[in-house]
Amino acid sequence: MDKIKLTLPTKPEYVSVARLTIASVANNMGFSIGDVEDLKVAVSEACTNALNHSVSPDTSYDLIYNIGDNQLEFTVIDKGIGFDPKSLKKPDLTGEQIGGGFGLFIIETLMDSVEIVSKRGLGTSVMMVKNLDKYDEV
Amino acid sequence: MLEVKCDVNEKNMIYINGEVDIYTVGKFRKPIKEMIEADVSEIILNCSDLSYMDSTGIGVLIELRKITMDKGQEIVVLNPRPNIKNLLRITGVDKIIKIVESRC
Repeated sequence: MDKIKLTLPTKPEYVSVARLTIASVANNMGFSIGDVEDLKVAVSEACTNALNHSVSPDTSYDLIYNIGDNQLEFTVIDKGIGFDPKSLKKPDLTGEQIGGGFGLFIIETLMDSVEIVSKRGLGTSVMMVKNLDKYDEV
Repeated sequence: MLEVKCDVNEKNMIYINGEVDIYTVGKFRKPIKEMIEADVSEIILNCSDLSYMDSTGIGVLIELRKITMDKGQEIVVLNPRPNIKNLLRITGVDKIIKIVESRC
């Protein structure tokens, strides 16, 4: 299994780097156009969460892409404030809840599996898996 | 990168070109908010050239839709690409914001 590791500054302007990287990797693996778009959204949501949880703009977070024969597994690991995954609110369409709570909901909808490990004060790791379905052309 | 343009001949149309994410979302929000404040009744977001959007853009649409509802205005998403349409669908935003596909 090939592995790519990226360390990005916790700054918004670098989230597009994570998207470009995953798009390139997923294209090479043979993912459909629709799946590549889904992967871009998922990695971007995880990076956005890492930025929102970071304690300082001078820190960094890691992305690890594990390239399998039939699946792409990628993990976003921050050293931020952490949170209790059970405390997550459902997405809010009324506009009352700041932020809306859509990030993890979108990730869980688009990916085949998601595993979140978070510890208060230590950080969060979000591992996502997308299976390669060569017949799923969009 | 995101470019947002308003056409002087179409006073209720905002052209959105590029990507809306945590970096560019402020640039996306500003002209829509300004059009709401200008009391335009129907604000059309021309998304033909919007290549990417995530929950940051969804959050803005939901937030501003609340203001337009209170003021009797409406936000319309025109010609979203399949990836954007899918995001609007899975988040349920397609149920609360009008999506129009025409004027290609």
